[in-house]
Amino acid sequence: MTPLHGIGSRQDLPLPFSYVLIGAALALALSFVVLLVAWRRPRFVGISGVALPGLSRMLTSRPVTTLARGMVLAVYAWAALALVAGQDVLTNPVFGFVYVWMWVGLVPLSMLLGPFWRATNPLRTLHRGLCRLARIDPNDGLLTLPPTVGVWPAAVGIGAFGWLELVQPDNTALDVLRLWVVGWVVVLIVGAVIFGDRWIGAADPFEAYASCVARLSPWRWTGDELLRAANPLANLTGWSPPVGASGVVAALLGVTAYDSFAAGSWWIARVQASSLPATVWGTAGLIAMILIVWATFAAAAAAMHRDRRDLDQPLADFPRLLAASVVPIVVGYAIAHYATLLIVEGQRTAISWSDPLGRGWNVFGSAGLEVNGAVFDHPTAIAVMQLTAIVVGHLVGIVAAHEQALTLVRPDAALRAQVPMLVVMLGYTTAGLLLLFAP
Amino acid sequence: MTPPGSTSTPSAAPSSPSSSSPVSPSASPADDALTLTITLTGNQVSPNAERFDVRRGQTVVLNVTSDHPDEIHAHTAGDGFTLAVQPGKRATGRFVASDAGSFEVESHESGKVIAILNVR
Repeated sequence: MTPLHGIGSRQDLPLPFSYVLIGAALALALSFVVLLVAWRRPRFVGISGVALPGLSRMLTSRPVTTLARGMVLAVYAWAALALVAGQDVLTNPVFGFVYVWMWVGLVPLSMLLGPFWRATNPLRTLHRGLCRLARIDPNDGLLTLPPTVGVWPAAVGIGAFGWLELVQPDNTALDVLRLWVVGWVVVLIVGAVIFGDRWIGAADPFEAYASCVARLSPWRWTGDELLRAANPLANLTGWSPPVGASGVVAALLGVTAYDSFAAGSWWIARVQASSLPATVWGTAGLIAMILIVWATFAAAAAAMHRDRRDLDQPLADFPRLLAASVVPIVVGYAIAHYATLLIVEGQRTAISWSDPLGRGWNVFGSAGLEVNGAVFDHPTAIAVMQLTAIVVGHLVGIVAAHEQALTLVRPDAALRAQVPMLVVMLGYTTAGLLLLFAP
Repeated sequence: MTPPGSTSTPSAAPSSPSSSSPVSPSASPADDALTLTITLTGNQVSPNAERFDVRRGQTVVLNVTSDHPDEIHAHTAGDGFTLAVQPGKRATGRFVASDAGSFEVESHESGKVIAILNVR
């Protein structure tokens, strides 16, 4: 994707069709192998991993948290300077900051550093500062957020960010981005004042996304105090996702899928020939894509629920818990679709980062550097990387789903009950490959 | 991706990179050039978001007629290629697709995608 119309104008070549076939065949074969050969009893139950009390104490100590939060806040303040006082040109770093560094960069950041985003979320820092001034506890709000709300607001927020990125006309005009950023800050901070800081976890699309991806990292916090180094697969399957997690993963997968789909000549040609405005098609297409993902996923989860081990377990638990196993597919999609964008446009943002106001500054010494676009000179390597990301995402996803099914489903139905979810995941993977083939 | 039909801020492409000098229609195109015959009518474009395979180093020739003043933007790995078009007058321009990748050719006025060049 290139939200940065004009500067992100070089895109990945379509995936060769032979790669689509190889990828789909691999995904199918791996699915059967996992179903038939993998362990038959839950393997990752209980807390695993190596406890790291020393590192935990250091990372949760006052100076370290204050320093980390302060540094992240300073980065956002710099971007805010470009947003408020910068020029309305594509070399303003705020565009790359939002669409590339934040939205795409949060994936590798969270895979490497775990829940770093949540720990240093500038909105939380801002809210904490306000609460300190007012001498109130950040946890306390005026009202209590009902538990059924979960992270559904964040799912809506992810859809809204997708709309900004993919449908909003002039999304690289400064006025437009300012309006969205103000909306984001106001909704999150006012909500946090009303409901306490729990609202930020419930409604911030970036934190919700980052928190999902953090479960694929080797870092696992127990009780917010003790850090363990753990097998990422155990980290993922040991996660009890919040209410609404199925909405979050459906929105993430749907947004990325729509991004690919809407870049294809088939869709562009039809939209351009239509008398309806492109915004109408874009909105409908984006919503449809998210709903397709959510409905297929919910249906597969409901099918598994029929063979539940615990007869009292409510239906809603299944899509919530199984959402964890869609996270690797989301991450695989994100890497396949956005890796070159992050590499190339990420560099461009780093270069303009030195000069937020367009006055010829070179604050960080990066202004004179040139973008190295050599990655595009290796289309075969890019295609192999995309194929690998999608297939590995699929493999990790089905292994996680298998592990979860073993804990959720009656032992005698353990294999049969997994089939609908396996088919749906295979559908996501094949669709992901086909979408990469189509543009 | 910029959505189809969007009118985002256009590329900061300088309007006259060295390869952009318009050539007269009678000039014979390079032997293996890809020639796109483009027609702009109102806010419709032809071809309409069509895909073309291009070899690295191949010359792309744009032959454009339009019923309104417009500008064609061909994205490239560098600064891009821009061709101004006047109504009723055929404009011709050429550039070399020197870098691999997928690039859009679009009309500035309508913001619509004319062609997608897959350069390998």
